[in-house]
Amino acid sequence: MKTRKDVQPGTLALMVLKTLDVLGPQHGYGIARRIEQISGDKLFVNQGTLYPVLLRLEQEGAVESDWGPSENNRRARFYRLTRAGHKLLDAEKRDWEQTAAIIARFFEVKAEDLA
Amino acid sequence: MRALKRLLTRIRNLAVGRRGDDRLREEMDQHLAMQTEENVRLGMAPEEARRQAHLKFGTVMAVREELHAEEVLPVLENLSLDIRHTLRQLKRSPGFTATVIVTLGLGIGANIAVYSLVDAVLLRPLQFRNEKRLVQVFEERPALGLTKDTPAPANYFDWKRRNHVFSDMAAAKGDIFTITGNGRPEEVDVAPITSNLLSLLGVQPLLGRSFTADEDKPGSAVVLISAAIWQQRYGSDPNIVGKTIHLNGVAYRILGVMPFGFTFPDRSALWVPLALTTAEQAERDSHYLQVFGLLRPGVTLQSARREMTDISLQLEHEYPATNRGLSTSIVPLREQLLGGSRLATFVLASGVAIILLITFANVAGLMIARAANRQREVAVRVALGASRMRLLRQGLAESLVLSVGGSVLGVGFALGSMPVIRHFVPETIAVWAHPEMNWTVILFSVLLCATATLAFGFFGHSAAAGRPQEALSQGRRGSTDTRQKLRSTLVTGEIALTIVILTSTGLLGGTFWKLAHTDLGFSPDSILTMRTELPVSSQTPYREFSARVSFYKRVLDGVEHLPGVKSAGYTTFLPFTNSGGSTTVLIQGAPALPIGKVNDVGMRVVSPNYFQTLEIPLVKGRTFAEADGGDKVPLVVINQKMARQYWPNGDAIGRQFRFDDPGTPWMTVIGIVGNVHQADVETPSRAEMYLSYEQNLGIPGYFKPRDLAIRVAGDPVNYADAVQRAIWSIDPEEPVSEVQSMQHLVNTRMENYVLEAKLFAFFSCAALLLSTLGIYGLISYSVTRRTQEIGIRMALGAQREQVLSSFVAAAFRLFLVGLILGSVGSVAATRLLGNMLYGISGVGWGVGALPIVVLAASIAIAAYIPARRASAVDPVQALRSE
Repeated sequence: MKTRKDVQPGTLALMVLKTLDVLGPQHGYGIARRIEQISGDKLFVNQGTLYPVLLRLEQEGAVESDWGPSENNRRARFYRLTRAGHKLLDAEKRDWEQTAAIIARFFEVKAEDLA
Repeated sequence: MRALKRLLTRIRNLAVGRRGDDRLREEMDQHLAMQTEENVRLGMAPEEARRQAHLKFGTVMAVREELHAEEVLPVLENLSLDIRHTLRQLKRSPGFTATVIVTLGLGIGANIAVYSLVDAVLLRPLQFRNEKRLVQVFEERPALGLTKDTPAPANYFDWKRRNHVFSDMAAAKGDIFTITGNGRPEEVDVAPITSNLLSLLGVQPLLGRSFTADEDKPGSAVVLISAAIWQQRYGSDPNIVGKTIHLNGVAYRILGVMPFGFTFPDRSALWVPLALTTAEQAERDSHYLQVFGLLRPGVTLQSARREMTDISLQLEHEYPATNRGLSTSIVPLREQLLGGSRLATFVLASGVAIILLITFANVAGLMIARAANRQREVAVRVALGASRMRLLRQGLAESLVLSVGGSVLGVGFALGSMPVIRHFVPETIAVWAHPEMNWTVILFSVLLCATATLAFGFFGHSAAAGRPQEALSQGRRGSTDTRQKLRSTLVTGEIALTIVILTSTGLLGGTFWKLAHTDLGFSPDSILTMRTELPVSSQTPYREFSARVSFYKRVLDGVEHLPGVKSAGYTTFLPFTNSGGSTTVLIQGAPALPIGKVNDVGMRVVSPNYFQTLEIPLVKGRTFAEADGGDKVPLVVINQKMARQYWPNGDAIGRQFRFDDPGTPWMTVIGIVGNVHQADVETPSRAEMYLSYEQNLGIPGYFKPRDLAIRVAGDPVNYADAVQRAIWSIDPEEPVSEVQSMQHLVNTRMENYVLEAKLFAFFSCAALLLSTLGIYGLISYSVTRRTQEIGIRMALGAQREQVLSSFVAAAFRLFLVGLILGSVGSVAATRLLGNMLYGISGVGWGVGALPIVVLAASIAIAAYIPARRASAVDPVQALRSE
């Protein structure tokens, strides 16, 4: 049976930042597609929840947005990473790696190691 | 940092009403369009493609709501909604709203008003820069019953030389000068002071300069004048400094003008150098200085007292003849000037605390009762999905609206009461004490009440929101007992509290009322008084005893012949004008006194009609007659206290005593008169004797008659001009001063007691009003809430009178329980207050009865009116009532 995971709180923002970092300026749909592609079917995201995250990042100054033409000539709002956004991404990435490393160590530990 | 940036953006968005909603909608539309296109490209039918796109996107509305919440501050936005909701709710229960707001308003208003008075009279600094470190130093002679006595010069100089606790010490004494030349002669209080007194106080002259140490020598004729004299006699002449003023016929050079309102010590209008001669500086047995000290920074009152005690012991050892049993006391100057301020402060503070306590009790009662009644409504809303946070917020919004309303009303009340409050300020300090609204006080009172309201609102609502199932399962209102019990407990508690409070304030107020209405030993009404000080210097004829007696006789004769005058009398000092004037006597036939002990007796020299003029009752024997004059056997009239003290067997008449000086003649007691409060109300009368003004017994000039009392028909003030003209027709040079009614003289001395009694009347009224309001609110609210029950009982055939009386009786049962609890509390409170109550014990029930009657009446009305209204409506309607 295929399982689909809910997004953990906070991680969506990190995904958005990394996507913008890799792809450069993107509109909301593009970001959503990218997240879907990378996580495959393993992650269940309501695409709509992306927008409040984008808004918050913008309020925090991590991203900027502007209207522009999309690839098939639609009017779309493009988001791109600011300098503060790059810094935030680096910091969040370190955090995440640290957390992941700690959790990983917990999983590796065996009973005899603690004796 | 990031969080702050977000917060600012959100507040800005909220403020300018900017919404990203339009942008978002467009973005989402485009998003859905792109997804749909993609789906079509993957081979879906257009309809299905759109459906799938929507499914993938999630609920548009939810996203928009979430976005909105991110964009602005929901807390603030909801607050305005909550407040609007609250206003609608409050409009539906105007009685509750009005009661809470008026209660808060009265509480806050009374608090602000009283505090501004306390602040002006007791807390506001004196007009002296060094106020906090200033003290007055007194001599104490417990063996003679003399407390806070004025020190002797030699003691002052020794203290000043030997102490290490004061930066400096200064001295002053009291005197009376006549300003002559340049207009009417005017007699004014003068303060001869040491040259350092003003700098010790930290006061600078308004114009000119103060004395130098060089000028503090006998013979230097320099003077500082009060701003009042500068205005009245010299028309605020800016070139006054250096001009000449004639005092007692001597030319003095004016050095400066003191600031407005500065009359220290007492009511001085002129300041001259103390200028003690070398002989005077060595005096240890005349005690007439007022001594002030400026504590060194960091020196406590205790250590100053210790050091002064040590110095007193040294002096006692060195000068046993004069200093045996003589110690010192140190009183902070502020306390000395403001008189019993600690008691008054405590009393006022407790008064304010009481008002606040009742306010809180009322508001708590009403808020909790309201919450209890809304339990069902709240439960229904919780069941329908309202978040608890939301309900609590609404509760808080209600508290907020009520406290804002109460605060506005309270500040309004306080503003309105300021003119009344200003009347409470004693006349003696009215120059500098101006009660006014103080923003700190306003803020404090408002915050306190708001906090209380919020706390009770929160408590009430959280209790209601906590257990919706329980509230819902209780079914219709009126059938449950728990809320009823809560209300009853509240009412009973408040009644008990009110009774305790009213008895306490009543007792304290009664104390001051009693002081203000003490039997003075004379009746002050319809008496005109004035002072005619006869100069005794070598240049005037009045240095002769006979010339003085002739002056008194001619004045009394002239005055008594004025139409409307009933009698007139002369005395050394009228009651309440001077506490001093005593001498030591030896009783004939009494055993010799042990060393260091003397018979100290108050002494006044009077004319025969003095007693009848003041209506001092004759107890036994007779008073003086005109025929007693000349060189006949010296006669004396004594007061009851003296008679009892020295002739306890009641046989004083005909007995003899003399001054404690060798060679003075024996004086015979011819009469006993009632005791008179000479000094003030609190000080009990002491042993006292009266001598006839016609008998020359070689008494010091200090005791010569100077105060004239005239009993008249009607208002004494109307006679002032005629009497003064009569005096000037006898001696046109004679200064007449301090023309006032005896009643006024008494009032100026009693004003503090009157003030305190009035304040307590004010407190009691405010407390009674607030409690009545609270209890009325609570009872009528709870009766109104039982409209349905009344409907049921009426529908089942109950008579209206029965229903009414059952409700009133129920209210009275609560009252009785409260009364019993309150009485117990009152007894405890009275014990606590015990040492503050000066000799009043009989007031209790008289004071207690009125508030109890008022409370009972208000409770009866509170139960009766809503019950009558409820029973008047159609039972069917009552049953449907909410």
